[in-house]
Amino acid sequence: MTLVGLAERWPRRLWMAALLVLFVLFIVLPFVMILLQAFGNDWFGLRFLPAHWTLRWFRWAIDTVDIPKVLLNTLVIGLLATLFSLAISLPAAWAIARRRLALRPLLIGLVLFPRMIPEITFALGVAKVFYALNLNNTYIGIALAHVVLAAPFAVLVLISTFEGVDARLLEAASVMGSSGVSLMTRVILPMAIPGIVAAAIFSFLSSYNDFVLTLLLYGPQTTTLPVQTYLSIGNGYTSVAGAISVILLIPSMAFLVAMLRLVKPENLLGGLKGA
Amino acid sequence: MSTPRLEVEHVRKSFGGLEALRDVSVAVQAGEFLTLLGPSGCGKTTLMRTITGYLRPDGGSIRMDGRDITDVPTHQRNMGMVFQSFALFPHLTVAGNLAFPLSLRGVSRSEQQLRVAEALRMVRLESLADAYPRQLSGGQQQRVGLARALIYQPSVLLLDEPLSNLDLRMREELRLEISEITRRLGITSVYVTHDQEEAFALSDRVAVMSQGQIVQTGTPREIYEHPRTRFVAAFIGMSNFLPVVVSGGVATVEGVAGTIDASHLGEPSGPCTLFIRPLDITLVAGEDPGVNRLVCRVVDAVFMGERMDYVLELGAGLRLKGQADPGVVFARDSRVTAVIPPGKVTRITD
Amino acid sequence: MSAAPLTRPLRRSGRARRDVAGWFLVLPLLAFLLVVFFYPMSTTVVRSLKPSHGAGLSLSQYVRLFDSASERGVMGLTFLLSVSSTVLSVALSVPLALVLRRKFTGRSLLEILMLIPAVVPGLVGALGLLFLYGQAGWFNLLLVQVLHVASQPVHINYTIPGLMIFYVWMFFPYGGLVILSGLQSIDPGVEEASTVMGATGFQTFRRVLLPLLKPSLWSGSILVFLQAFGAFSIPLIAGGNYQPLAVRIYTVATVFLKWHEASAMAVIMGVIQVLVLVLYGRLQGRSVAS
Repeated sequence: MTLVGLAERWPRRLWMAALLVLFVLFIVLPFVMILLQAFGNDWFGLRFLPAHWTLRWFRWAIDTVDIPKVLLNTLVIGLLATLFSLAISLPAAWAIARRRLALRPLLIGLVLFPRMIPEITFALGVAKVFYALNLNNTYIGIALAHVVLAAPFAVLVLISTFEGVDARLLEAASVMGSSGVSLMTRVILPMAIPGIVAAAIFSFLSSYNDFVLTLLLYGPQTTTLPVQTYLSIGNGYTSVAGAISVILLIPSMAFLVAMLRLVKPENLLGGLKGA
Repeated sequence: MSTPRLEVEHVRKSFGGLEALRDVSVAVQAGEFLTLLGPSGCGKTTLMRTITGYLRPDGGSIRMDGRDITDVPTHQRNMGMVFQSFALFPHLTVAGNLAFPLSLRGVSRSEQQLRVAEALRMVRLESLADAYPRQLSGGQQQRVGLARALIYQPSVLLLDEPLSNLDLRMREELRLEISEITRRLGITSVYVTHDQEEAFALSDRVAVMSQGQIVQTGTPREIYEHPRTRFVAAFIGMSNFLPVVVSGGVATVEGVAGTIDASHLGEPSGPCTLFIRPLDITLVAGEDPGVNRLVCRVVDAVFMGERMDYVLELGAGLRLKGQADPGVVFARDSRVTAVIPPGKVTRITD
Repeated sequence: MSAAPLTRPLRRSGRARRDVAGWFLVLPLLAFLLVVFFYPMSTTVVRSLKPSHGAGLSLSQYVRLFDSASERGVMGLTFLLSVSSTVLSVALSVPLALVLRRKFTGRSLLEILMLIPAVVPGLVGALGLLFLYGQAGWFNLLLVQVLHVASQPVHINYTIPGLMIFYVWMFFPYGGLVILSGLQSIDPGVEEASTVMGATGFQTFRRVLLPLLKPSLWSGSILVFLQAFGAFSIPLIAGGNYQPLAVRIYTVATVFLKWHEASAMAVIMGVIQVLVLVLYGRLQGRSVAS
């Protein structure tokens, strides 16, 4: 008997509901716990809920670890990485999508290779090289390292965007006298905007969520949110770590919602974040 | 009459407030070929699924050989089904597909082989036993589907639009094959389609469905010649509807010269709608009103090869479709007389 | 950029000329990757081939790794965690996909929920999991105070079974989504046919759905495995004494400052991952690159 047939039989329905509830709890409860840690006070012993609610952990986070500065670092690095990622990905994706390039599969393989191996395996080399060049503990250095993670995804998204731009439309536009710059800005770009936005968000998130590369490259001036979360956990301030996690989560969730408007869920995966 | 093989009694089914089946009752005799005919969304596939048990009716019952099977799960009903999408198992060969229901029934391997070979012979696919479904044409796939549905000798064979995914030539070929095989095996069959030609060519009886109800059941000839409602008449071929007033066995159309004999149409007098097939109308030149002779004007004439199609206007904007032998041609705007044979007029309800 | 080549991207004539122009567009990206990825990567490979002391190239780092019981233990742990979490993830994904493929209110919300572990920073997930399964976490409170199945809190954090749970939480979406879309691409008629022909729900599942789902199960498994194999955040903060390969590499390099040794481990890790990816490409019936 299949699910369609049995959907109408009550016990099976109960099983499915139970499975879904367990699944939802399995996924969601860790976040609930973070929220409780971040907003709870006097939570000792065997109790389900904290005795009091407080914002003091957020104040602690702001006072002791200078969260505004960390947030600024994270955003600046993220924006730099996004800009740089788009700057090199846009022309490359256009050429791969619309030109008949020799060795195309090899080219795509090379571009995607950084996402095919664990981040730590190339982070070591990047760290060594960047130390030698004094690029560690700089915005530009960390952002460049993040582009290694961001660009492959940006290229992937942009290739499919540009492949989707109908060649006949371009032909129609050029027949009507549109060419060069105006063809690019008035015909191609508007059609490609959603894809470019998606590529930008992918790039930004790759940087924003990155942990491994940043951990090997950061310094006192360039601590990012993920690294600071890690440091706080290491210091044993679990509630402060919870508060920072909440701050760290807000943009990820916002981006998740934004992304779902642009991309199908199954296309979202494949390494938006570090390990 | 003996107990029907399959009885559907007062079955109701709705999906979230949408009534798909509204009190449907129909019976199929053993060995009979019944077609459920109706436009898409009329509930015929839903009815089929309540028969297989894939859907559970909200009310009413299904009986097989007199036994109530409403609560029997699908897999215990021993029915055979042919699908519009073929629904062959892509991971199994043709022979594997045919052996599947046999192995479920614990048939021994050696007997499986014998029966698979026999079934393949029946649908003339002996040479394709080891092919996979994706290697077959649509027509071949559906013949496998038919063989698979019959190989375990089900009590009822259900066919859900089995020809809809095939091209025209294959459709005709397979239709003949279905007709031939089901009759030879004498199996009770329920066929779902929206194509009246298929329904008429295959069926002993046709049940016309509309909006979750069976509106008329009868032999193809009954349905064609004496549709009971405007829906049935319109769904089955080209139709003319005449609003008339009956009094004293005579029907008159307002503002039209000539009358229609309504003595065979039964009792009630007053306004009603009459139905006439275009093919039954004969055209004669000139104005010659009388009983079963209505005067009209030719609005349009179209040469169709084997016949002429006419659009005629009976006064007051009332239009009539007529067909005639292409030997004589009536010019546009000429006045003609439409002759209606007395027995060919049917009273219908709206 | 002129309009003509834009509108005729696939025309064969004058192909060589356009190829050159096209490669110019790809050049910045390639140059960047060469400098910031492939060159550092090559220094890692070279470093792994150097002895800790002295000059010249040798395989001594690799030999030492394979000789060391503790390093073999790291490898074993890494595979144990990756394989077990892959198996568990698939085991969770299949029933979940069977339920989620049906249409019901809130289904798309659940699909989004399934994505969450894959898009939030791994650290945050790990922290929440540590809270949840800790001695005073809700999971233990449930066991002890509500269900009374344990008299005192169960140790989950910093144990291998605990790590498996964490890995599954974090990595199963990669498999779950693939399996779900695989299941949704199966013609529902095939199931109906099987049932009408007399198969029970379990028979239909085992003899029809499962064989048809096999490719999705494989590619879902490999995706989960790859993620779990490279896992870093979770074992770093929730692994306790257990250090799988990624964490071990990090520790050896930055704490013990043995960069040569760490480089050799990184090379081994990269090679294994690429081999699994090649296998994945084979299963997909096409090369990984395309």
